[in-house]
Formats: sequence, structure tokens, C-alpha cells
Amino acid sequence: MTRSRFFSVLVPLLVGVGLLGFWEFAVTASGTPEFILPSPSRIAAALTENFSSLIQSAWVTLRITLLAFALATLGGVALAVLFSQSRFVELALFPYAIVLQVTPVVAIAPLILIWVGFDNVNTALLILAWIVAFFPVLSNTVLGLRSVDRNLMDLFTLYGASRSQRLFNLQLPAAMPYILGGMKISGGLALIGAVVAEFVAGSGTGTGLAWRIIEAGNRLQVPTMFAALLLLSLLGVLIFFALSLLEHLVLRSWHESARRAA
Amino acid sequence: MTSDPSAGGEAGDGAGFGAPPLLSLSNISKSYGDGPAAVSSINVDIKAGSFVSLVGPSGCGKSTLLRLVAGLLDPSQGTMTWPQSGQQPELGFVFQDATLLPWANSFDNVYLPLKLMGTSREEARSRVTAALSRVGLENDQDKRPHELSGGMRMRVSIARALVTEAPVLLMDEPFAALDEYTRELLDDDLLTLWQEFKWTVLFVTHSVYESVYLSERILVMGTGSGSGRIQADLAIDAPYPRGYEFRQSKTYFDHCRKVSAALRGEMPS
Repeated sequence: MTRSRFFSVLVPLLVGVGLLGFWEFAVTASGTPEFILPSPSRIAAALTENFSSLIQSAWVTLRITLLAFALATLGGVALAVLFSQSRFVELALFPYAIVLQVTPVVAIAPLILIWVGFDNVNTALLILAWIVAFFPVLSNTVLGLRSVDRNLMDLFTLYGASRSQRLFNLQLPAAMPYILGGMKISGGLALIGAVVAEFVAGSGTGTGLAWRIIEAGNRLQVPTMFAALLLLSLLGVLIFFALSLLEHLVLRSWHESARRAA
Repeated sequence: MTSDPSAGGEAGDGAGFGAPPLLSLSNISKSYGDGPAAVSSINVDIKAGSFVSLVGPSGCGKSTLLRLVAGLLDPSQGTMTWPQSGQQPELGFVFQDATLLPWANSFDNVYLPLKLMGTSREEARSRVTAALSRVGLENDQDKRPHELSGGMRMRVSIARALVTEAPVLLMDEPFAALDEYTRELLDDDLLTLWQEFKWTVLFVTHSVYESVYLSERILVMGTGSGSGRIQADLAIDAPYPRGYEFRQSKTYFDHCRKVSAALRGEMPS
């Protein structure tokens, strides 16, 4: 158990170190210019040189991501609950939720930007990231609310449960594994949405990591581009682990998925 | 089909004694959509306090009939009345699976019906604890379903049916998924509880042996063309309490033979 765990950390780590070593060697040995492919050591240097400004940008991106993610979770769950309460509302709105989901966010961005105004770019970024992130929570929650054990539903009927009792004591807890699964997908998508939106809509008052990548690219500061990219990856990993931890904490006491991992 | 539902003759439902039956089903039929009737032409009176089993092969409509009685389904035809109370009394229902909330411990699972009826946790505490001790789980209140064995989960489910003190208990093949040893233990526990609380029990099972062991009266539902109908109504006239001796007795085996014959559509002799 601990032995296999040890290996599951060690093996990817060794592969990573090996790849970095090979990268460093290949770039140096072949004399590749740094505006094509910088060496890992050069990227690390760029990261430390620009550390404080990059961290500030990372914070800007993270803030939009987290806000969009929180609103996506709230909106997705709320809409799914509404759907579960009224077949009519579901029938009327679900197709449009899908349309919103399948339309590439890049294509909507200019429109949103015009609507919210160019002096409110942050709001535009937030809306765009939200559009990308909310659908997995919505569709997963809808699925979860529908997948409640039929006998348990009958039991609630038998004991004369009201709609809200049924929702809070049965449907929402039963949908929890699905909701958390949707949130895990959503967290990653919110980051993607925030970055893509910044690429298209530009930066607001703060400068996010996406803008830093564009800026550095225009100046051919490729090591800085890589440094910003590295931070973006770290943000993504951070979000993923935070949500996995949340999932584990919420489900560990009863759900198969979390118990097996424990 | 092959025999008149009343052919069992001796099956007493108490109507002869003047007391109105607890439950009266008259010409009840149920079909889903345009399909064939899942149950049809059911005419049965159930006496208060009796232990009645519905026996039949899978798909004969016995679960449908139970759900009709529970009010979980509406009959396509016929009327169902509760002559004693005038309306449906409180019911306890036990499913084939324990059907527990997986995230809630034993206490909260048993508390659930009371919670839905608006009883506060503190008010309910003594009743929930009593119900759990009644099924021998007083030390497992904090355990969640996955920490319990199949038999223990079923006991929680029974405690949940006990806790509301409902006078009628409907059971849908409750012990079918358990091993035989555990099943026999629970059969005995159920009989003890039945005698203590004077419930009316409607017990669905596909096991001839289990139904004979438990019941005062067995309604045999048909197969094939007789599917969905009650084709025999048999009384099991053996005294309670029943135990190991009864399981070994000639009376027991005679009754089992009779029920098996009725299941095959033969006239009970």
C-alpha cells in the first residue's frame, strides 16, 4: 500500500526529471535559440526575474476563475433543481443551455464585450468563463437528481414528504457524487474559460496570465511565455486537487468512490 | 383461472364475525399503458391484525398489488376501501433491499419517517432508540449502512417501519436477498414483533416455505394465463408462536404441499 503509493509518486517524478534533463541537454547541445525553445534553466530564470509581476497576474486569473467557478456551481445546481421541480421549465430551457454550451466561447466573446462595455472587461471575462464552466455542473446535477433510488422515492411518498423535504433530504444528498464530479470538470473549464476570454477580450484593469503570454509573445520573450504557462498549469493542478480533496471529504463517509480511494 | 378464488373456503377473513375488514379490495385491476393487466379482478378482504402472504412466481403481479395497497399506484379499475378507518391508515413499508439512505447512520435512517412528519430529533430520540433496540441494533446507531451486514441493514429497515407505530406493515419480498440462516432468524423476529404489536401484515414472497411458516392466510397468485389473479386463498391453521418444531412438523409440510399445488394451478385438496 505505502510501497505502491511511494512508487506512484516516485515514477512520474523521475520521468519528469529525466525529461527536463534531456530538454536542457538537447537545447544546449543543439544551440537552439531561446526564442524558439528556451532551456528549463532559462525558463526558471525568467520565472524568478518576473516573479512578483507574474504572481500578480496569476492572482488576477485565479480570481476570475474562482468567481466564475463559484457562480457556475451555484447557477448549475440552482437551474438543475429548478428543472427537477418542473418538467415544463426543463423542457423550455434545457435546449438553450445546450446551445450556450456548444457555441464556441471565442465566438461569443466580442458580443459580450460590446454588451458589458469596454470599460468593464473584467465583467466580460467573468461572464465568458461562467458560460464555459456552468454546463457540466448543470448536466451532472440533472443526472444526479434523476438517478435517485426509486424505492427511496416511494418511501418518501409513503411518508407524505413535501417537495422541499424530498429535495433536501433525498435528492440533493443523493446527487452529491454527481454534483462534485461536475464541479471537478467545471473547475478546470473555468480556468480555460478565463484564459480564452482574456485572449479574445483583452485585459481589464488587472493583467492576467493570458495577457502576459500574448504580451511576452509579441516581444519574443519566449522564456517568460513558458513561465506564465507553467503558472497556469500549476493553477489548474491546484484547482483539481482542491476539488478532489473536497470530493473526498464530502463523500468519504458513505460513497463507494471515496471509500475505495481511502 | 383454473380455480375459484374462494375455493380455499376455509380461509377466514373475519367477515363472518361482523367486524368490518381492515382493507377491502373490490374488482381491482391494474395495467400499465396498453399492456396486459399486471393484476386483474382482485377481490379480497383483509382482517385487522392478520398475517397474510401473497405468494407467486416473479412477474405474477404480487408487488404491483402491494403497491396498489400502499397507494403508490392507482388502480386502473375497481375500488379499494379501508372500512375500519374510512381512510388509508399509516403504513410501514419494507422493500426487498433495505432501501436506506447511504449517507445516514442507523439512527437517522430510522428517524427519517418521524422527521418527515415534523417530529424534532430530540422528541424522536427515545422512540428511535427503542425501535433500534427492538431489532437488536441498540449498539449500532452510529453506523452507516455500508458498515452493516445485509441482515443488519434489513433490521434497520424494519426498525424504520416500526418507529411510526403504523398499524399496517407491507413487506415486498423483504428477506429474499438474505442467506437462509439470516432469513429464518428475521422470520422469527418478525413473528415476535407481529404478535407484540398486533399489526396487520401483508407479506409478499416467492417462497412457499416462508409464507407457510409466517402466515395465517396465503393468497396464491397465478402463473401463465392466471397471472395477475388470485387463484387460491388458503388458511394456515397452526397456532402461534411458531418455531423450529413447527418447521419440522407434518402440518407444516402438508400446508407447503397444498400451497405448491395451488401455485401449479391445481385445486387445493
